[in-house]
Parts: sequence; C-alpha cells; structure tokens
Amino acid sequence: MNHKQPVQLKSYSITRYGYQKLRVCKHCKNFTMLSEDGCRYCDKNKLVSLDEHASSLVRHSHIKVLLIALLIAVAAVLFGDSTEQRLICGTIGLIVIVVLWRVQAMLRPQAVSRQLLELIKQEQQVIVNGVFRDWEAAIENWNKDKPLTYAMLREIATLMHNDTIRMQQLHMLDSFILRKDMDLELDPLLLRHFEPLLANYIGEVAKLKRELIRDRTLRYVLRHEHSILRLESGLAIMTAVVGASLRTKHYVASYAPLVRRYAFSLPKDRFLRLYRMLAEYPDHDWGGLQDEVYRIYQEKYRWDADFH
Amino acid sequence: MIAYGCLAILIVYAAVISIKAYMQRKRVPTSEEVDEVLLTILNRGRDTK
Repeated sequence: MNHKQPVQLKSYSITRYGYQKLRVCKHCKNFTMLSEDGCRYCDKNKLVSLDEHASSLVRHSHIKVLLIALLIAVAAVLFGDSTEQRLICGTIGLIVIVVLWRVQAMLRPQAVSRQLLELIKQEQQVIVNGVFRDWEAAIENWNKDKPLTYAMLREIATLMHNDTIRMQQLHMLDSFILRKDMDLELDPLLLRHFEPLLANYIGEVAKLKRELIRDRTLRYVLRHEHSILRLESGLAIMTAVVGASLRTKHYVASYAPLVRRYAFSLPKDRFLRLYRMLAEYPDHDWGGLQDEVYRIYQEKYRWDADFH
Repeated sequence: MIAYGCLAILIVYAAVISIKAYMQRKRVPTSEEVDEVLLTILNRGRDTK
C-alpha cells in the first residue's frame, strides 16, 4: 500500500545569513527559529529579529550616554555663578551633546554589528535552549501534522546541522507525494552514511528537480553506488541521477565513468542530450564515454531520426 | 568654578565615549563571522557536518 500523502508544503523563506532566522521575544527574552507570530513562552506578540534587537539595545545604550551627558550639562548650568557663566555652560554643553549624538549616529552600524555578536555570545545557552525547544515542538507534531513538522524541521536545520534532524526531514519527505512545484532541497539533507530513504529521495528529486543534483549529490551516489544498486529501485535511482547530471558539460566531464555505466539505461531524451553534448565537443577527452555512447547509439538509436 | 568643573567632566566624558567608539569601529564583526559563531554554538559537540 502506498503510504505517501499529497501535501501542500509551506514555502521556505531564504535568508542571506542563518542568524537572520533567529528571533527573540522582547518580553521574555526567549529565542526561537519558528516563524510564529506570537512568542510560545509568554504569548506576547513581541518577537523581533536579532538585528532589530541588537539595534534596539544599541539605541538604549546611546540614549543612556546622551542622558548622562545631558545631566552633567544641566548640573554645569545649575552650578553657574552668573547668567553669563550659565549661558556659556549651556551653549558648550549643548554643542558637546550634539557632537556626541552625531558621533553615535555615524558609528551606529558598526555598534549594531558588535552588539549582535555580543548578544549571541552572552545569550548562547538561552539560544541553544530555545532552538532545542523548537525542535521538540516540531517533533510533537510528528503524527498530527507532517507538513508542519517538516516545515519546522527545515527552519531549525538552517542552523542545526546534524544527521538526526536530516533523518527526521527525510522521514517526513518519504511520507509525501513529491511534486515539481514543491520547494524542495537536497544538498542540506545529504548524510555521511548510506541511507535508503535518502537514496530514494535523491531518485525522486532527480526526476522532479534536476537542478538540485549537484556535485555533492553526485559524490554521494558515487560513494554509495553499490548500496544504492542493492535497493529495489537502485538502478532507476542511479539512472535518474545520471540523467539529471547531463545538464552541463562540467558534470559529464567530471563524472564520465559514472555516466558511462548508466548511459545504456538512460531514457531516449537524456541519451540524445548526452549524444549531442559529446558530438559538440569531439576533441574533449571523455575517458571512454564516447565509445560507449557510440556503441549504445549503434545498438538502440541507429535508425532513429532524432539522432540525425 | 563648579560649573566649569562639570563642563570639563562633560567634555572628557564625551571624548572618552567618542574615542572608544571610534577605536572599536575597526573591529567590526562581519555577518559571516556572526553566522559562524552562532553555528559553532548550536552545533558544538554534536554529530555535525
């Protein structure tokens, strides 16, 4: 029986840096990576990004400095013996405060970056606890809402890099009917060891989203080729991966022996692509691939009009 | 005289704050460094890759 379900996956927002996925509650100071509106711990709608939080900490610290300066300036005015002295103190005090404010404004971006790093270092245990609690929250939905669990795990996996979370994502993906329009990923899910779930997923991705088959995946299938071939759909997986790798000359040239081994099983459109690529670069050293492709051509497509 | 004393304190205070901020501007961590520190913290001692 097919255990796979049709699902609608939440789109994954890509941030330039991983830390931009992390948010902090301004009320209870807990951290989370999940894209919820309110804080899970205090129910307040006060989640802000680390950049915003660092920026607000810098603003508070700058205001504190300016208030201290203002206090000293006011004291100078109050202690003035004459109106003239008060006027001088007031004017100079004001100038100093304005200069200080300008300097702060000028160096503010640098101060925010420093504060950001400081914040992460100071709150490292709270951050770790927050992310682990996010992970627990994701697992709590394991049987209730699989697409949500997957979406949560994917968010967490932006910063948590380990095989456990990758395996959990693969388990979730294995229960979905994958489609071309889904926002899928492959490189971040690659494990160090051989895993049939991953191999099957690679096979599906190779058919649905060829552009996700890149060097790391090709190295993975090359490393675990024998284990993959022992799977029921092993040959189909290897053929799909090789078929997907025919996108660029770079992959064909770099993995020529692999391509050669599965060229015979390639569907006609992929084989035609390979055939044309080799014909386009006849002087390139393909390491025996050309001979094999020519042999297959002679055997299967010699009379096929598409090849002429 | 106390007024001028306060004024002197204010100037020194502003100068110290400004010089400190100016000196620190050279040691600004990049976003990549911030990311690296966070990844190290979150993946310390685990089966990371």
